Amino acid sequence: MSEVASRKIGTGAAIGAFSALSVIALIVYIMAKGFGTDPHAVPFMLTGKVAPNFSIKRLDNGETVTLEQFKGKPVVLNFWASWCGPCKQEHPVLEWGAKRFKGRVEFLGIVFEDSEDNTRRFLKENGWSINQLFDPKSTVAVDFGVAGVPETYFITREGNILGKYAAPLDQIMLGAKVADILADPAMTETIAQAMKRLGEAKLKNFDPSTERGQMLVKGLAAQGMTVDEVLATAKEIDAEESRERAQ
Amino acid sequence: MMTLAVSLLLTFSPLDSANSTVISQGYAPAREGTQPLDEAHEARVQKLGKILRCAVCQGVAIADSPASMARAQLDKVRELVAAEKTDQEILDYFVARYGEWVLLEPTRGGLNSVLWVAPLLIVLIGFIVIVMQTKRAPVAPAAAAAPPTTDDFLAQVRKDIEQ
Repeated sequence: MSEVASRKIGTGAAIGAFSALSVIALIVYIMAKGFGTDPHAVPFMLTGKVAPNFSIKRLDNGETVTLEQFKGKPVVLNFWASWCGPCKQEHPVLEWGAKRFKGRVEFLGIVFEDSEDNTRRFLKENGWSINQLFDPKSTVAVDFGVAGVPETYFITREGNILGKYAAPLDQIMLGAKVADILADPAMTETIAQAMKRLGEAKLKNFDPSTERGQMLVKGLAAQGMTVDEVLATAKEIDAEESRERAQ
Repeated sequence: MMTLAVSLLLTFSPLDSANSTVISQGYAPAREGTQPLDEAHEARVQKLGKILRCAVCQGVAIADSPASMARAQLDKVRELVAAEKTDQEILDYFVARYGEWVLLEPTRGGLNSVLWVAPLLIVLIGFIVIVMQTKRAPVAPAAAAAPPTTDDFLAQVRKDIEQ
């Protein structure tokens, strides 16, 4: 075979191999992207953005409430409905949060796609310690990018959305999220100390460097625990998880 | 308090708080939507409603969904159309909240261009390879040279054949 002919074959084969590899890489990329995404998850794009202002009425006295009037104070904004099962499960947690952080964090409920009568009945039966606002045409819900209920938005003193939680909150999760928007110096110090000591303790199932570990420490500190109490609870959790794994 | 915390933590499962998965149960009470606008404006509302995805449905346009959330989204489109916003401004409003996920027709810019360009590119590369292969001069099979041998019998056979 001549040198020219073999060189041509080499070039053709290289282009063919490159094309095949490109196609395979593209398919792998598309599949990896597709399989790594929950097709039912609705993206949320307002994290870090200024929370849309609203002007809607309170359910108890008809007074108009705007988000702007709470500027300078962290806000927990919860979208819910009386017909939603997980909202009923979450309701006592928000009631607890409103009492625990009274005066420091503003808790607001926005009633989503519900009737006033149903809402009043629900609140009378399950507790009404949070200001409940009525969003008759769901305008506020669409402005906030709501994609179901319950959804809770955590808004900083400056009026920016730190994030939203699209599931029923428990006390630990609510505490952790409130710790972030509250940025209370004493609580922040407790969290930092607890993180440091837990890092040194090197527990088997409780790693404070992970997202879960940090959430747990923040959540515990927000319950009002001291550093020692956070540590003792973390050790108890670690032991319990070890026992569960051994079974 | 510690026991409560432990029991709560053992059931703790961090969720992706940036994205929503619809977990609502039950049904919202039926409610009427906003009154339609005049014919020209309402036509725009319905056209936009066909390309915007309902936030709580499975790939259904807000104009086609009976869900209360879809009606609320369509009401928002109506409000923005009534405020004389352009189609692009209205789409941008929804994309700013729900990302491009909300568009039932993906835009042609950015990374989405790959979807439009890749098939053409693959066909083009295939065509170039075919052209290069067909242009290649046919290669004559090389004459098989007899390997040298130390076998006297084999050497004699070869000599006889050549004669």
